[in-house]
Amino acid sequence: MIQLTINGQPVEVETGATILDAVRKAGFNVPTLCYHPKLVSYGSCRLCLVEVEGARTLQPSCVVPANNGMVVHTDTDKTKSARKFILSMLFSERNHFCMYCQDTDGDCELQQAAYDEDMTHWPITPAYKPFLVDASHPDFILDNNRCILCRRCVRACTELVGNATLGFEERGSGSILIADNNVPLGESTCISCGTCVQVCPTGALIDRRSAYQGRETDLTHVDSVCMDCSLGCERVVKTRDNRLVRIDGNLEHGFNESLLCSDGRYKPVSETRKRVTTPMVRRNGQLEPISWDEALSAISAQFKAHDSSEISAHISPRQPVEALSAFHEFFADHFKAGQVALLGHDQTALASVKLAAEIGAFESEISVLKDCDAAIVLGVDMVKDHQVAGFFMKRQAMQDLKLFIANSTSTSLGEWSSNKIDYIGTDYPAVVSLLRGFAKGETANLTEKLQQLGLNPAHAEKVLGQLKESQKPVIVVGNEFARLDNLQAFRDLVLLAREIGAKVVTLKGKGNNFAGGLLGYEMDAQAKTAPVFYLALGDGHACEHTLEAMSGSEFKIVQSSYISEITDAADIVLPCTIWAEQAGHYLTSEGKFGLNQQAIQAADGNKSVLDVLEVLAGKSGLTIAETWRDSVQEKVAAVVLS
Amino acid sequence: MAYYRSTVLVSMDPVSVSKGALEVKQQLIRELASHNLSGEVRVLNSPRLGDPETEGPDILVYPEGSHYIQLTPATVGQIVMEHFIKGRELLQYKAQMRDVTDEELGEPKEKEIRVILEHIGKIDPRNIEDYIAVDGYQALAKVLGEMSPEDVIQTILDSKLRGRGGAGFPTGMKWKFARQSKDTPKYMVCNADEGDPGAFMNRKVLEGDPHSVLEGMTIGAYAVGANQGYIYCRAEYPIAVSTLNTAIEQAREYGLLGKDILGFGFDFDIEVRMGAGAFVCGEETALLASIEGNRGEPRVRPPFPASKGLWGKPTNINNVETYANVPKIIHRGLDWYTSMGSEKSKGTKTFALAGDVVNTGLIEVPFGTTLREIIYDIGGGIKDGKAFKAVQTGGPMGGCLPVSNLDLPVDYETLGAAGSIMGSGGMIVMDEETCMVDIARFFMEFTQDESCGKCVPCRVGTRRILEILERICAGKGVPEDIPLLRQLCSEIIQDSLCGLGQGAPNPVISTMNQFLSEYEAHIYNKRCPAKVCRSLISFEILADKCTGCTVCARNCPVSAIHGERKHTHVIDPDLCIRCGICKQVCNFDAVVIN
Repeated sequence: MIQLTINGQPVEVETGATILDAVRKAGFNVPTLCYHPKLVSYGSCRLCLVEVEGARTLQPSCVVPANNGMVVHTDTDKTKSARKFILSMLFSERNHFCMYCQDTDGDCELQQAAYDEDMTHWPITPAYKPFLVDASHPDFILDNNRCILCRRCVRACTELVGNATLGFEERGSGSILIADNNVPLGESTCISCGTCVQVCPTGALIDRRSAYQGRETDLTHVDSVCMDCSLGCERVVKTRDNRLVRIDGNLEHGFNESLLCSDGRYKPVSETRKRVTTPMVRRNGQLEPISWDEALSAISAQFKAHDSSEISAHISPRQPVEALSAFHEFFADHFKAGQVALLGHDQTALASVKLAAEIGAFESEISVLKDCDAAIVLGVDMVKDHQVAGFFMKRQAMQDLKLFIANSTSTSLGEWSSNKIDYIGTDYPAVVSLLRGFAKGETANLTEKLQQLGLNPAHAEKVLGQLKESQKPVIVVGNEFARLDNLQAFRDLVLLAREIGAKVVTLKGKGNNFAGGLLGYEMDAQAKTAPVFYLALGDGHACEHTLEAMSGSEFKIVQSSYISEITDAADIVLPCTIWAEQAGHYLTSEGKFGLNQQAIQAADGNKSVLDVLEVLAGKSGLTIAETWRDSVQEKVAAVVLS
Repeated sequence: MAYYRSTVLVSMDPVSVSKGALEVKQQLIRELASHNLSGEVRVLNSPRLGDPETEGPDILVYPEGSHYIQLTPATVGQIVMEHFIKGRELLQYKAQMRDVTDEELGEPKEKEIRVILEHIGKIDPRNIEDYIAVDGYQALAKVLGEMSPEDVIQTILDSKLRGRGGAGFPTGMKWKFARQSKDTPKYMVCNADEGDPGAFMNRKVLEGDPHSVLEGMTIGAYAVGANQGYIYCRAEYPIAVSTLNTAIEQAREYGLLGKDILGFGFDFDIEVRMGAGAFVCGEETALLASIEGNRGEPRVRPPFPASKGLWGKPTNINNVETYANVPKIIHRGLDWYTSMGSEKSKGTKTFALAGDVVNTGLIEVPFGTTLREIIYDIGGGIKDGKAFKAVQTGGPMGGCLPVSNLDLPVDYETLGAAGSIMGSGGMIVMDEETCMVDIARFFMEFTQDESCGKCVPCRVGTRRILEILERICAGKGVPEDIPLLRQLCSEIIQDSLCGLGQGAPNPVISTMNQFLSEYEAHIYNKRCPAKVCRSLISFEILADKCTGCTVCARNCPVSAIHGERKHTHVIDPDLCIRCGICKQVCNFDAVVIN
């Protein structure tokens, strides 16, 4: 521990803490601009300068480590004049006319810093060359005229996301933020994660869709969890007047440390599909509006008229556990329907559950990816399908991560790593056998084995050696590898992981797949045609196989938020709430329950999947238990290490 | 470990062997044994030492560095008798040094003491034997053979050698800190970025005596515990880069660099890395960032490079000249070294004397030499009989010293107290026709362009200062500019992240302090007393001197001069761009500047 004095007050901080940490712990504050709690401190804006007795110059408190016996003064004549100077320099550097800026009056850290110093005008007339605004990107706008060159965005793009698209060109007063080799953002390697917009302190980077729609204080903030992939990133949904305005990262909670990908941040607020507005029934080949009562009665009648084996029920993994649990109970337990399946046919959860039943819990939490020094990635493309987990890996790849990637298609996951093996193919048993053999020191047919997999033997052997020497290896598997027909290799892999002390992470595809697997849904077979086809689509999508299977049914019931070719083919269409209009829990890949709170009120006439089930149950004389949490919770512990 | 008083290297390359090197060696061993010298003189095999075709078989004797060539078993006996018993070199078999002329460096003036520049022009930098012949690598042999790393550090501390890059930090202390760091690997870095405009001291040494730097780095690496070194040389010095690379290759061949140097079990190798046109990469942390492949931006210290430098490892960085001093201190001893210089700054310093003096170029003087001695005795005084106005020392971060400072002894502390800095040794002399406001503007233009742009005070502050100075020089200054300049300067110095920002306002402050009247003339009278600032001067042809020869009219680039042959010519002030060509070409002194 370090002891020092701030403005006469003694304070104690951990070794490695900065003077700024100590200042804040002691209850004082200094202004900052380039500092951000999630980024490595940069020390460039100089706004945080403090006086340290005995030091030759003013010290930037955000970077300088606290030392025993330091005597620090934060509000002296020198520090105050320094702050005014820095701010007046910044205001003179580029266009900081606040009136037209989306961040003005509440959301701009530069403006707030000036107010905090009691500044009322610019002491020095600005003299700058105007920059062109880059509006080429579909999700945000870059206005270099507002930039204060704090480089939070550049640092975030590299340190947090591992993408390194943003950078700086030129030097001195000619420095300018650029993307790649100075191309428009819309043509760059940007992956639209939106992290740069989130960290930008001024109106240099602004969200297109939510611009001018309200200050942070005008918006209602609702904690949510993303249900696109099974990572379950925590996020904050912001609304105004019952309208979705913007989705931002959650700075307080979540393994994802406020990071989101475009699927979790931008996709949900750029929906273009049209809503289903009223229940409809097909009469004489046409869909006509009917009342909810009539619709639900018709459905109930169909259930009564058919044998339960003639019912095929499907639900989207975007639905919360509450709905999944009720759905399964209704169709599988009570009705014993012919098929009760989760859309997507992703077996990963099933495979994990089955394997855990045989050899005990084996999965670790996602955060182990954040400081791994070696990784074996089998059967999953994180860059495409689990982007935030991919960020962690890309970050590590910049720190010389040793990688073995095996996938049916090539992935850019290892683009920063110079020590990697890229196997493109699907012979996973051979891959696992190779790894086991190497770990055991069996180098007999190594060159042959490597050649058979299409790898360069010399390079691959070198990297395998490095993997063996690593201190914190992880193994990540996804739906191409974790399958019921690949269980042998899966088992061998996990047992190997236990021997070498590698942590295993299983990424379970879309949304609530893990819950689906634990609840007993069919996830390994295609949709089957049946006389009655019940599809609880919600706000999700269905693939052509499902549409095909459905088209062979006589009575097709579709619960959907949006109009699509699926609803066009249905016999009964029920308008469904979207994710933001209902609350519910999601079981993430790492076995934690995330809560998506309701953010907006649906228009009249929309019912959730759960609402409809309760009515249908009532009409069939059944009640649905609400024990989903207990029943799922203990099953999770069987798979995921606590 | 046994201490030999002498080591003999025998060339054992194939050519030398074919000429009888083995027999020479065996005879040598026999002769030494017959004089009971086997325990005092060690004989080692070596790769080729000289040019085997013309010189083999040859040997090199340490610590004297005597290179004996064209030996036979018969002559070996003579050498043992003369060199080892009687203690004198046998000149008839000694290799001769070659003379290499260097046009840029003249003969030393009386008040100079050439230590760093001693061999430039006298040895062939691309031939390691020349360096060896002038006692090169003897210090290294002594260090590796007889001294511990702590001994070396103590010697450098006792020498009071101060960093020659500008900061003047005691080199011994720097090496001590690096030695004390526990982390490995450690690195030894040489700052050869030399960005000050007009300074070329380091370039001379790198081009003319590169081994002195390599030897200094190797000795330092031994002291500090480093096994890898980098020389960061600006890309604008391609000859220096090439000379360095040749020198490194040759040193490796001779077992003076690389694995197991001189057989003492110490490994050290050096790589040259090139800059890319950024003055700021002369700042040590920006330099390290550049070597790492990152944007050349300084970072906040602490942590200092001695504990966390290149790739986060302990790194020692010194200037070219600092390293070049080291072998001399070790070889010639502390008494010799500390006999030169002032109380606080021992040894000599090279300077690049430039500007309005008769003798411009590189000089080397002991610390304590006065500015007057440098400018008048060595520099030959002001050109064309004009009056001395000021001398600017230390490069773009230095201040201007007026006449009243001429008797200042040159030293880190004295220059600092007078409002300037030592810097890397630039010295620009200015005569009465220099406008000090323009000088301040000139240096601010340079630092503004070279600022890395990371921190706000330097990036924006220097830009604002430059704008004000440009306005003043253009005749658009206002009274508020002076206090505003003072305020901006003091804030930039106080708030900047690195030495560039902390030093950039120095020329402005020192000229405002020493030559305030010139600033006031520009602002209040819209006049440039030195007749330099284009917007504030006009050219006029004196009627009583003009002969109407038309030379000026014909040479005027904008055709601003009118007049008929044999009649007084007239300059049109609206067209005149004040280039000064007419004044230059007039043979009758008829053109004057107002």
